Amino acid sequence: MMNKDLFKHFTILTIVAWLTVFVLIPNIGVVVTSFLEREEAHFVSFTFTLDNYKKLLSVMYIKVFLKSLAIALYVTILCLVFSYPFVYTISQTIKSIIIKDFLLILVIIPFWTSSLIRTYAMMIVLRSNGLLNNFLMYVGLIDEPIELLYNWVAVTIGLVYSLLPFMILPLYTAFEKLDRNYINAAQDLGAGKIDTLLKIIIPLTKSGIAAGCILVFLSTLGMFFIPELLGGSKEILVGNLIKNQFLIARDWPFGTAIGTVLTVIVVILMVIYARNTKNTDQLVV
Amino acid sequence: MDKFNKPIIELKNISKSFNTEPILSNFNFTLYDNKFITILGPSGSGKTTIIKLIAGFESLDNGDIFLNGIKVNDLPANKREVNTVFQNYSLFPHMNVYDNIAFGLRMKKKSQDYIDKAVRDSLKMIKMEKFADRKPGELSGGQQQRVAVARAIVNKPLILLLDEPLSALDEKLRKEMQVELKSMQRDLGITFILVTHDQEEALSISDTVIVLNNGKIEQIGSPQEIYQTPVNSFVASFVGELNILDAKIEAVEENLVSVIVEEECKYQLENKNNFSTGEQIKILVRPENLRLSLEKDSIIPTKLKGKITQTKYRGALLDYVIILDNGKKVTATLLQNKKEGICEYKIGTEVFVEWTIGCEVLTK
Repeated sequence: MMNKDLFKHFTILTIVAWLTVFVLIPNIGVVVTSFLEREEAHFVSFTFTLDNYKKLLSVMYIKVFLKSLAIALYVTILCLVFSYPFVYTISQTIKSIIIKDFLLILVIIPFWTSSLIRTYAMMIVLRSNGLLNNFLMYVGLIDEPIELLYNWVAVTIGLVYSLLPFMILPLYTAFEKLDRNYINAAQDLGAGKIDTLLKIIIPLTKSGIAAGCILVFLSTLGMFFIPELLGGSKEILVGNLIKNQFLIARDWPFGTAIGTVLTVIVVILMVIYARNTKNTDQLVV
Repeated sequence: MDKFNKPIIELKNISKSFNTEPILSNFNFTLYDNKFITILGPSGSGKTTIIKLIAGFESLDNGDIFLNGIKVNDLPANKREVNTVFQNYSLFPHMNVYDNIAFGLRMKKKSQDYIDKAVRDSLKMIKMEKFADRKPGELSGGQQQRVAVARAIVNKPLILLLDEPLSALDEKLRKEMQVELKSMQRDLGITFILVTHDQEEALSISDTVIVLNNGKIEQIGSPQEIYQTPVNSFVASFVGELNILDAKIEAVEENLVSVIVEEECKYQLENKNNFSTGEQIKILVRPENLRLSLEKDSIIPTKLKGKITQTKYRGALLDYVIILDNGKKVTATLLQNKKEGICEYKIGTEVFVEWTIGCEVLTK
């Protein structure tokens, strides 16, 4: 009995310690720093100020925020639109477990390569004399290379490409939990393929849709190297803004202020999500 | 006129295998009147597969299925005039009871008024008007089962398929639901096809029982026929307790045979199976048809000698386990008659066993 209690306390203590050191203290540090003044020599000086937040209210920064939210939403929708049919096919129409596993592994394999390297590879595909342009010219769809790199198109393609697995995997989990009998029951009651999809399958995989959307949306907001490499530093998201404050402008307090605002926005979105799904069962992410 | 000639359902020579393993082979069944049909069989006998084939969830390897005279082999599940009550009910968890029941009618694009009336009526029938707004997760097993039945029959199907719907319920509730299902079938006047492994359920609920084993029909008949005149020892032992006695045909005369039972005593029995002299056969007798006594008949030995080794009290009934002189174990079930106290054989008592002639079934 004694031993069991000891073990229990030890485990809880470890987790609490871990969370304190790596989550609580850094976050408090971020929030506190955001209310301090910038100083060349020591990065921050311990004088209280609200200037960092005031600065954020300028049109330029608000635009970056809005643009980031818009592109995050756009990327999320694209990921969902591409992933859902893929996962539906894998889990509903393919019977062989070997083929299922193989297709899933294909989704996971890119994870084994650094996403930075994959983004560089993307540049090779998208650039003017890159694979995609050459292919399109060879096929005869275009006569001269189209500008694919260093614009929003490239950033979107890059983000969708790297974040797709974050949508696919939660969706797949949700589909695996979906009892085949619900689909049989719907068909038994006269539902065709489309009705079954809209009225049964989508509502019952809502948890996966929500989890995937949150993962992709949040990841997009924080991404900085994809917009930087594929957008050619012309197109910046909140992630780039923060990164620039720390590594280029050396303005830690302002960087942390942006980070804090981003965190608050994310928390608000999560709360809205939780509120909306509370009443419907089966929707625990 | 035409209606009488067309069977409600006809299963012609159907077979089905999964991964080359045959699940069903040469299954034939035709039904003309609306009845309560039970498909009874042990697990793995292919009984659920029949339901899935009729409903259209699985495709046939061979044979044809006709519903109301129309071949439905290639008709998808959503176009067939049958509805299913699933084993775990499969009520849609994201819809309330009302929407679950209304689902089928909405799919058929019935008018709002029609749907509302039909759903309210069926809620009344299952006595669950107050539960219309509940989600399936907030209902008990018995209530879910009722909703599952209502969701299916509100569509007025030609046939209602029930895939072991009672197996998840406790004993008492299961008995209640059996009665309810039976009366529903009678009131609605449609065919119910129930799949079960519970022989008691099959016997008590159905008009016709199909006994299935290893994908083949062993016997089709009324519960009485299945229980009293089983065609073989599989059916006999599956639908109830059974004693199997070895016997040898000694002589055949017209429609009687003389047999030597357990190399001990001689019987004259009806020759229903065209046995010939010298054949080794089995005599199947239900425990309740065995009789015990303390004395042996003096002239012809028609009683087997044995010793009581075990008694099992079952309330109104009492089981005696008797080891015969040649070592064979038989069970006799006797009605308890406390007042007269006649059935009180103690363990170790030497008894003589016989059975009511005519209750036995002879098989090879």
